[in-house]
This record gives sequence, C-alpha cells and structure tokens, in this order.
Amino acid sequence: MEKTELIDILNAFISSSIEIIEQTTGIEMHKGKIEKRSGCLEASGVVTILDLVGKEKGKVLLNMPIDTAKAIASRINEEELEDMDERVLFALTELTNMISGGVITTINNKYRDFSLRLTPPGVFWGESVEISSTNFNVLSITMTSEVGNIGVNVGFQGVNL
Amino acid sequence: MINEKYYAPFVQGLREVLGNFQLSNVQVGKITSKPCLSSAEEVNIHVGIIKEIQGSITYSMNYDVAKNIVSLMMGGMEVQNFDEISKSAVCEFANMTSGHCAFQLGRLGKTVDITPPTLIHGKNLYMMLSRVETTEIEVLTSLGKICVNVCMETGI
Repeated sequence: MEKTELIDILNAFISSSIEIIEQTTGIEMHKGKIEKRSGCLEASGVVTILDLVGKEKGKVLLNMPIDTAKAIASRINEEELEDMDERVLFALTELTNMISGGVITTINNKYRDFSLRLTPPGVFWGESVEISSTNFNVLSITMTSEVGNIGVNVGFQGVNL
Repeated sequence: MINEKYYAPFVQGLREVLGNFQLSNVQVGKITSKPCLSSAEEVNIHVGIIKEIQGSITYSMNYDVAKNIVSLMMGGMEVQNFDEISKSAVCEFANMTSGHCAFQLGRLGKTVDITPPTLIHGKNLYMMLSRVETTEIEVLTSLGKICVNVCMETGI
C-alpha cells in the first residue's frame, strides 16, 4: 500500500467519525494535525479496535479519555452513564461499527482490488494501556470536541511513512 | 458453548507450538462459557478470524507467564523486562498458535484466515472484544496459566 492510499483511508475514517458522532450524539468534532507513529500506540482511557483484512491487513483504533467515553455513551443512550459499565462499552462498540461500516464501502468502491473486510470491533479500557502490533505504521489524528479529545489511528502492515 | 470440535483445534495449536519448543506438559483445565469475550488479565494477544468463520481468539495471561513464554522461545534465556523483543515474541507465539488452529479448522472444512496479532497490555486493564458467547479454555503449563478465549460470531 502506498502512503497516499493510507492517507485516503485515514481521511475516510475522519470524515465518517465526524459525521457519525455528530449524527448520533450531536457533538461537533474538530480536526487536529495528522501525526505518524510506528509499532505501538500508548493510550490511557478507552480504546476501540477493529481489524481490516483483505489484500492488505490493517487496524483502526479510536482512543479517548474515560470521561469522553462516558459523555458520548450517555448521549447515545439518552441517559446519564456515570460508571464505566457494559452499557458504555456497548455504545462505543456500536459507534465504531457505524463509523467503519460506511468507510469500508467507500474504500472498496475507490480501491476495488483491496477487497477490505472488517472484523467485529472490540473495546478496552485501563489506566495505562499499550497496544502494539509488529511491522505496523500508524497515522493518527486527534479530534477535539466539547467533551474531550478523540484519537483516530489507522495503520497497515508494511506501509512506509 | 462452542462445539468441542471447533475449540479443540485451539488447544491442539497451543500444544503443538509449545511442543515445538520442547514443552510437553500441557494440560487443559476448566472450560467455561461466558456471555462476552472479556478479560481482565495484564497481557492479552488478540487474533481475529475471518472468511468462513468470523470470530476472535484472545490469549490472556499475566506478565510473568508472558515472560516465561518469551524465555522458552529464546532457548531459556532469562527475561526480566517485558520489552520490545518480548512484545514481538509473544505476538509471534500467538501468530504461530493461531496459524495451527486455522490449518486444523481447514481440515474440518472451514477455510479461515487470521489477522495479525494485536498485543494489548497494561495494569488494571479490562477489555471486551466481542458480545458473542465465548468459550474460555484454561491451559495449564509449567510456564503458568494461559487462558484461551474463543468466540465465533458466524460460520458454525
């Protein structure tokens, strides 16, 4: 995969995240700067992850502080969620599903030979979590909002950034 | 709970890989069913399954067991820190084991592919990777306890 194609995929995820979060929660998101990382992503708070598989293998991670996760889940569930319970995790999993569903169609229409498929998303949280995967280069962007920052990270195996 | 014929390849895969490193005493402990794929262990390696079966496998353990696995893979060299080499080694361990499982599932008539492993580790970690009923298999070895969580969303 070329760097430009990865940027295209990241941009598709950014647009979809902004659109879906605004539609489901009414929270307006603002784009930050794109950064590159290699190998691992250190995050504290809540992280959702899904794998992209096809001609190329990749991962998408959304990370956010616990308070932001609770605020987003509260808006989706239309009730105040104060504890990090399963309802918060379910809401975030569903949000990630919605964000990625549309993106995959867009990418597969544009790059037909990729034939990307998604695995179901997972979610985890902790005080200090590190996620790593061998030979992965990741492009990250932090989006800001009234409820906190959300990071969108997209990485594919073997892409030179 | 998943039919035994579908989770047996995962135990077999683990046995074969550990056997390749000259570790033969691998026992299966408790096999339990839980409503979702969750783990509160310190080290978790997640591998996705796609194609004819869609699902996830997670190998969960604590830091000591992870370091013991790395030490075994490095021919008995003492591993003190869970550093970059250790992280890469445990991912490779999960990759090899899942590769064996994929092959065994192929022999059952289910063509599957696996995604590259993702290592998720940290203290006070809680993860929920799937909302589908999951079979947790405790595998007891001289290195310590490894929990293999298998969940299959479609295809069985």
